[in-house]
Order: sequence, then structure tokens, then C-alpha cells
Amino acid sequence: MRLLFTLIIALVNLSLFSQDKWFTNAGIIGFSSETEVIVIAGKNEKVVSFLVPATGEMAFALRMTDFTFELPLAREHFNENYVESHKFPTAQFKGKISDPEKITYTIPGNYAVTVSGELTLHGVSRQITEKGLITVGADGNISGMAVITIRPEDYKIKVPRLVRDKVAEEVKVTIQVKYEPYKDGK
Amino acid sequence: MVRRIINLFVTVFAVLHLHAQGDLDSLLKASLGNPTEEVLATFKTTRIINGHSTERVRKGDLDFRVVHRFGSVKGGAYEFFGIDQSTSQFGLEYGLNDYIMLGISRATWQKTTSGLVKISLLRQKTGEKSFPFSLSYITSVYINGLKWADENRTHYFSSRLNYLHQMAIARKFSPAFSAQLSPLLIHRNLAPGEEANDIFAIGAGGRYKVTVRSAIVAEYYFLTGSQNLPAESHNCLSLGFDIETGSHVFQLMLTNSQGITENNFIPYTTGKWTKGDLFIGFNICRFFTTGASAKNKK
Repeated sequence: MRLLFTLIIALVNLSLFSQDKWFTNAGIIGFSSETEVIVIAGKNEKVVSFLVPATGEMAFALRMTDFTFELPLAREHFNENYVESHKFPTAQFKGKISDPEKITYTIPGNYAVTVSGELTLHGVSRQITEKGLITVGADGNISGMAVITIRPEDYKIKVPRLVRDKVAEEVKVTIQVKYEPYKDGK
Repeated sequence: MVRRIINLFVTVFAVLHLHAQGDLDSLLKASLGNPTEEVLATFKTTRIINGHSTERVRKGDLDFRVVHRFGSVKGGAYEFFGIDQSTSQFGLEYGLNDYIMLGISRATWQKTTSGLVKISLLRQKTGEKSFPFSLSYITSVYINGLKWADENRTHYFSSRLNYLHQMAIARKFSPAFSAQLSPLLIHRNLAPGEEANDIFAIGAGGRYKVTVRSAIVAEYYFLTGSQNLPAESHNCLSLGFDIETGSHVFQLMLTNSQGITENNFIPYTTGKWTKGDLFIGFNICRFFTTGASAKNKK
């Protein structure tokens, strides 16, 4: 009897691991550098992200060249002069929800969580811990959002003295993802 | 027995867990893919020095250009190395979309008003469907605005017109180094004296980035064969330095041509590098955006 019970638990766990991934390739990450002189804002709407509810694992990846801007030449300058996309074409985050037990994926609602993991940007990897919100919709769909702050200096993104007053020391980053159930072999 | 089975499951569980994590990494990479992307910024602006590059002004952006070429540096300190005399051109260039650019300008030489269309036909690309070079077609019409020398003769407006047809083929070989070849044809409806109406030339240019925001540029226009041009016409060789600051690009140059428009610097480059008969000049580009409010609504 106990054996059977263990077996069932194990099988349930297995099925959670192999199937219950949530996915998007249209996540939105925007950033905004605000100074008195100028506001420079970029937006990437092709962010790839995975969420594994069973383990609380979260992963994000994006291409730096997918950021779009409204200011003339901003995209060119961003890629060529600041993030050096030819050397570091992507940015990634891999981490975990530190308190996954807070979320009940079967009950719709907003769940405030803490996510920590490793952010790799401009070839520099740093451990970060940030607060975010996981939302389970009435239809059972999962979405997530967070607003975090990044210091370009921490990722060795150089800002020359000439434009020092045009680029903020702290850049606000907004993350929005709407997940869909991930089907293997899709 | 039970404990053994539990152990087994714990092991399987752990292995699967590891597998899932590694999996996520490769899934992330696979989902990101290797999309085809156009190569950005082969050159800093729409000109290498005197002549066109493959670059266009982007959609909805406006480039206000101030171009100066001074007198010959041979004038020495008395003429402040030519800076006391200046010829200029002012221009406005606009990106109809990312691939078609329109421009109008006015130059002091021959009181020339000109119109310009540059079309990007092919773009260098990386990724899945990579492509090795960019190709742009440039065409201009120049209207000579000078009064006719002999008012008593019958004159036609068409006699005032000169045309440019140019193909620019460029490749960004590395983030720092780009090179370009650009054959061109200038047609003049009315050529002075015995000069040819059609002039052929081949341009070669390159840039090397010294820092992320500055670059050394060089450009040479070679007049092919005997073309019935004045004896003092030489090939045009220019060396320059690009500096970029946010929405401005400054290009400083030393060239053996005082001419700014193609119908001037191609047939009438009179200076000689070997004799130190050179001209200092600069191009200033100031970029504005006009489409922001429309884009905001999206």
C-alpha cells in the first residue's frame, strides 16, 4: 500500500516535470533611462520565457537587436556603442521563485513572489533578487510582471563623459510575460 | 525494499530535475533561434566623405546637413589655411521608409539646387538567411541656378540640368571595418566647351572605427579613361575623421576637391595631394525625428 502511494506521488511528480512548462516568445521587456536632458526608452516584444510551476524555475532570453526605439539613431547607438550586440547578442536570466509555495496555480489571483537568479547582460553575469507578481487568470492562464532597476555600470556598459548627463545611472526595466502551456516538439 | 524503491525514485527524480534544467537552457536557445538580421551602421552617415555611402536616413527621420569646404590650404596663415573662404551646401534628407530616402539641397557652386533619391536594394544580413553585402542606388538631379552668360541667345531650362546615377556596394567586414565600391555616371545636358556630356567614375571608400564613437574614413574617386575633361582635372582623394555625439555626426576632412556636389568634385577636382593643394572641410549632420507622435499611438 505504502509502495503504491509512493509510486503515485513519484509519477505525479514526473508528469509535472515533463509536461508542465509554460512558455512565451512574445514577452515584453522595456527599459527607460530618464534624465533631465532626455528620456531614452527601448522595447523588446520578442522575449522568450519559460516557467516551470512545479519547481518555480523561470528563464528569460532576448536578442539585444530586437529592442526598438523612437529616438532617431537610438537603436544603432544602443547596439553599436553601449551593449555591443556584435559581441554579446543576447541577454538571459535563469532563476527560481524563492517562495513557490505561495502560488496556488489552480486558484485565480495575484501572487507576489520573490525571484532570484543570474542575469547575464553585456557578457557580465550577476546574481539578482527581485520582487514580481505572478497572476493566475480566471481561465487558468499564467502571466507575470516585474519592475526592476539595473545599473549599466554593474554590467560594464560604458557611458562616455560627453553623454554622461543623457544616460541615467539607474535604468528602469519593466517585464511583462503572458504564458501559454508549452507543448513539447512544438 | 520500500526504502530501496523510494531511493530509486529520489534518484530518478533528481536526474529528471537536472535534465529539466539543462533542457530549459537549450529550449531557451532554440526558441530564440537564429533570425536573419540586417547589419546596422556600415557607415556612420549617408556620405563616406564627399560621395554617398549605402546608408539611408531611417523612416520618419530628418537629417539636416551643413557642409563646408574651405579655400586651398596653400593660402597659408594669411588665408587662415583656406578657412577665410568657404563654399557650402545645406541639405534636408528624409527617410520615407527604412529603404527610400529623399533629399533636397542648395550649394553655393553654380547656385545649385538639387534633389536626391537613394534606394536601398539589398542589405547585408546575418543569421539564418545571411547576405554578404549591401547595395544602394543613388540618383540626383542638379539645377544650375546661375544667370546665363549671354542673355541674347535662346536658352533651354533643360540645359541647366545635370544628373547622377550611382550604385554603392558595401560590406561591413567587422564591427570596425567597412569598405565600399561605387561606380557612377554623371550626365550633363549641356557640357562646357569640348567636355564630354557623360562622365564615368569609380569610387572606393572605407572606414575604420578607432573608438566606438569615432572613425577614420578614406575615399577615392577614379575617373576612368580619357573623358574630354580639362587637363587640370584630377582623381579625388579624401581623408576624414568621423565623430559621433548622440544625434550629431561631425565629419572633418582633408581633400583635394573643393567641390561638394558630385557634378563638381567628379569632373572638376583641381587640387593635387603631391603639391599640397588641399582643402579642409566638414559635414555636420543633425538628426531629428518626425514620426514619434504617430509611433506613440501604436
